[in-house]
Amino acid sequence: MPQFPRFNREPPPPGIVYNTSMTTPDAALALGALWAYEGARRARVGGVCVTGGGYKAALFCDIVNQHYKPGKPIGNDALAVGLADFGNLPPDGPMVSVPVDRLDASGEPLYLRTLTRPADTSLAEAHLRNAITFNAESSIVLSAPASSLARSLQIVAARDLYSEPVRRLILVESPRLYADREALEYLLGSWPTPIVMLSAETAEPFALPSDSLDAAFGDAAAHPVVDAYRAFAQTPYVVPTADLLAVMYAVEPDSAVFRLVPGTGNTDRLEIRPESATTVNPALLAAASAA
Amino acid sequence: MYITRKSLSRRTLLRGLGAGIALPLLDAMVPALAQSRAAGSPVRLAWFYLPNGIDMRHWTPASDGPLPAELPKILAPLAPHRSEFNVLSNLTAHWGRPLLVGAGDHGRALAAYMTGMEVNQDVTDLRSGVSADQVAANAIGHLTRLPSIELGLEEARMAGNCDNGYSCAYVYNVSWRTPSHPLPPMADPRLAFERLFGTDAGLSPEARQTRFAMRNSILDHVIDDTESLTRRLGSGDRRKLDEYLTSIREVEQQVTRAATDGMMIDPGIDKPFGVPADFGDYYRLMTDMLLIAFRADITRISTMMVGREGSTRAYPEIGVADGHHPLTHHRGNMEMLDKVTKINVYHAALFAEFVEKLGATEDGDSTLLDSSLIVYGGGLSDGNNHAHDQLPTLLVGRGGGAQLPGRHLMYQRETPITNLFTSMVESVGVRPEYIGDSTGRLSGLG
Repeated sequence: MPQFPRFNREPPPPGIVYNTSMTTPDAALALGALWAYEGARRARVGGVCVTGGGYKAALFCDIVNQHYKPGKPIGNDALAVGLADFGNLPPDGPMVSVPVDRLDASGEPLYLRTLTRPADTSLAEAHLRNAITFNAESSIVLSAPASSLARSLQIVAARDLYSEPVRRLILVESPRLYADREALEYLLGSWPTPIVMLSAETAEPFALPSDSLDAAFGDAAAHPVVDAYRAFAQTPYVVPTADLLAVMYAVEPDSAVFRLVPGTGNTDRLEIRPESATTVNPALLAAASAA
Repeated sequence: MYITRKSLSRRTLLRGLGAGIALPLLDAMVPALAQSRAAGSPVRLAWFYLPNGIDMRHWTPASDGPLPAELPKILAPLAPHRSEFNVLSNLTAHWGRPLLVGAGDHGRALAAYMTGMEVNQDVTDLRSGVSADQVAANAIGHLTRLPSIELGLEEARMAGNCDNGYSCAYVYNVSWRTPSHPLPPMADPRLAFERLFGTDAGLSPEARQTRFAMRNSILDHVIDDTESLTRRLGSGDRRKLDEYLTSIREVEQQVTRAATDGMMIDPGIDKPFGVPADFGDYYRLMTDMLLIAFRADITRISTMMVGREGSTRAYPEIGVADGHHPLTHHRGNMEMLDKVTKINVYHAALFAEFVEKLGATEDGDSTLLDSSLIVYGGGLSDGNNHAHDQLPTLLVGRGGGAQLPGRHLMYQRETPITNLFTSMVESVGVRPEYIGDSTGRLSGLG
């Protein structure tokens, strides 16, 4: 329960808070899809936080945000992009460096950005807490080390504050998620709302050929998400979609495509109904490439 | 006076016939202090609260690192002291934000600023948190006569609806002893004087002694009578009487302490009457008393509200006849914005005078400025948009070594300002697990 009742305003669409490492192309696709959902008023980008990525990963999130919604900082009028481990950031890969460093004909950065220096990013745990408390209803997609989200949960009163607005916490299983096992165990033991795990096995069959993404995005000459998945590996290759699938579930949890299976502890496993499997990839393509 | 190698207490009095006069900090006292705290002098904490936001264009230095010789316009009056403070950028007071509630930014800005907690939108059901100054006062307040002192330059209102369903108590009080108990700032110089220095401070020594003796004799009579009665009572009645005697003794101690304190403190200024008409004179009078209180170690914790949130004070002293709050909603009107800047500069100039005096006041081997940590800032940055992030924040002084000043420190955005307050409270030897929504300590200060 929030400490005090909130009123006065009609609730906006559910906010999706995305805690990502932004190191694999499904993350780039997922962020683009989130903005497309916001454009369709089916969700709001409640907040984006990078944990386990470098400054350019945060900068990439910023240019994607600006690409879809120029001039408006993410989520609300105040939040920038969260970035964990400010003083000890890992190196960035080409997936984020290529679009971030891409220049136009005059030698200026091609993509708009609001971040001008690392200090323009937000303190990760505060960013997550603040983003979650901005939303009347929200879901959280965690595809990163659990450290930032666990720290946010340790802020005083956060657990109570999360218990009402957060519908579910969706964990995307990957080595990243297990990078901070202690934090993950704390999260699993203390999180106040339902937890859903999307396993790598469940997501793997729905990877997309890069050719299909090229076709879906058409002839976009300058699109940071396209630059990202093309820079990640030599095309053609099969692009993972786990984060994209998790975002789709966060926005449409009641879709007939999904079902929940009881897992261990308080965590359910997310599965795709076999009879709906053929509809998933077209839906993922549509979500990722929507303007 | 003959001083041996044994340390002289900081509270030593020159005693005569029932009278006592406080001593300034002498060299002979230093060894005793050095044993209690490595740096010698105790750390004093103060928060100067600025209402209605700041014209941040003229506040934030262009780059981080050492402060430049030429400071932004609002900070320019403090330029002579730029080696004595840090500019801290990007701190946030999250619970001031509208979130899902809506209007009422001024009420939340102030009530959430030092508590770091959500504020209940209500006119009578007050709920916030415990403010950082009171966290410190609860821990070290027993070391001084007053745990803390709350001062202000506008008379506080405690009741009524002052901001979209938020009680006036939220709009007028930065200091909260408990989540439902604000500590109103004293804006009447005379009341502040009497609280700091005692009601007897303006009396002659003879008059003080007469008043003290009269109070004492009354209590002595009460106690004598009840003690003689005790010998004739049974055990049950004795217990009841003992409880009664205990309460009498507590009253006696309070009276004695008040009387003694009144004799101890010679503030060196006349007891003020009324509020000076000139804002600058008012500011100087109140800050002079704060300085004396710190110097005499009457308290080590203070808040000073330069204005309440939403203050509509005009500043004819500097040619600004419009109310402060309406001006801050300038909607880009440059004429209004310039007046806001003018007010901001005026406040900074008055604060610079206070800093100057702190720096000129000896405190053991150093100065009062060296042993203080003073926040100069507020819970809104852009008053026009009611922005609760990237707050204007200076941290002045060295805090006995807790801060290395002279820099612009740029933190990640959304860093809770309560992280700063947690670090400040730590500098007086308290280690709170958290203050409000703090996520840790503020790095890089020392």
